[in-house]
Order: sequence, then structure tokens, then C-alpha cells
Amino acid sequence: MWIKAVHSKGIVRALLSLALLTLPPLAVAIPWGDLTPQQKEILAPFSSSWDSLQDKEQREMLGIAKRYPKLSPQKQQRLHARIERWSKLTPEQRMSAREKYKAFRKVPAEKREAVKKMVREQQENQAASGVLPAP
Amino acid sequence: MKSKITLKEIAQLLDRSANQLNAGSANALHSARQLALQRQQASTATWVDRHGLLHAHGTQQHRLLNWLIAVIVASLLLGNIVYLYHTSEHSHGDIDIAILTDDMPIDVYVD
Repeated sequence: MWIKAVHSKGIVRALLSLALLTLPPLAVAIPWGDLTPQQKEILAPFSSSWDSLQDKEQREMLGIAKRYPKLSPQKQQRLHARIERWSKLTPEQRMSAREKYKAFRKVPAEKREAVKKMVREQQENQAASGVLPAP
Repeated sequence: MKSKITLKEIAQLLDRSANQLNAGSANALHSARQLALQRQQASTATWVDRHGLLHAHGTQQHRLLNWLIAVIVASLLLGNIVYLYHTSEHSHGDIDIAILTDDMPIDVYVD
């Protein structure tokens, strides 16, 4: 019986350790000044609004900055061109964009390609008429 | 003369000797036996108590406490797992990167 007791104590200790290990990190806002020069360069459009962002949004933006160096040069260029527009969106607009993006990914590949083709043609027409295409 | 004496014979000799004992010696032996038995019982109880085989009430409390701790720890663990699952589900880093690097302009998703 005492062996059982020792055994159950061990299990409780193991569970407690596991529970402590999986504790979520405390969400603390990060001031703009604490970002590294590289993070500041990538997230430059957010410099003025950074401190008003929720800590969750800050972490998401830092996630983007973290992934940036691993992107291909073409994707880095796109991200650089679009992040300013992204920073001007409200959190609700960003959420809506994410939902639409997720929904669009579920569309069959053929239909997706047809939409992309249509958008490209629209951009070419805008470029031909002297209107700057959206980023 | 017999060279070997059997156990039965030893017992008979002892019984015979015991019957020849005077009352004082018999009482002293009886008291010593009772004392030895009491000590044996006390020693067994201590060992059993030390190893948690007696005092059922105490053991039950101990079990209840263990269960309570286990339930609290399990709840904590479950809560953490649900939180982490919830957080990862709503972590938009990957989708944000995908939107920002997609071959479709952002406004397609915004408007």
C-alpha cells in the first residue's frame, strides 16, 4: 500500500510538472523601443501605431518579422510592399481578410485560378489606363 | 539405553516437569508469557501503522487528498491544453504571411 502511495505521489508530481511546463507565457506588451533593428525595419509601417496594438497583435506582427528572412526574395518584396496597407487596416478588417483568405483557399483550384486570372487582367487594364495597381 | 529421544518424548518430559512446578514459578512463567505476547502485538501494530495498513480512516483521508490534488492538477493541465489549442487556432501569423505574400492583392480579401 505504501508503494501505491509513493507511486501515486509520483504521478501527481509528474502531472503537476507537466501542468507547470504547459503554462501559457504571460502576455506582456512590448514597447517599440525594445524591438531589434531588423524587426523595426520590417514592421516600420507599424512604428506609430505599435504601442496601441494589443499584445496579441504585437506577437502576430513579430511572428511575421520572424518569418520574413526565410521568405523568397519575391515574397519578401511583396510583403514589404503590402505591410503598410496591412498596418492601416483595422483589426476587424484584418480578421475579415483572414476569413476570406481561408474561404478562398477552400475553393476548387480551377475556380481559384479563374479568379486569379480575372484579377490579373483587371490589374493589367488598370496599369494600362495609368491607375496604380493595389499592393 | 536409548541413544535418541523423540520430540514426543521431550514434550512429555516438559509437561511432566511443568506439572511439578510450584505455583510461584508457574505464575511467573505465565506473567512473562503474557508480557511477551503484549510486546509482540505492540510491535506488529507499530509496523502495520507505519506502513499504512491500519487506521482506515486516516488512509481514506489520504486517498481523498490525493484524488483532490490529482483532480486539481488534471484540471490545470486540461485548462492549459485548451488555452494553447485556442491560442494556436487563433494565431494568425501563418495566414498573415500568406496574405501578405500571395499573388493576389490584399484588397481582394479586404473589400
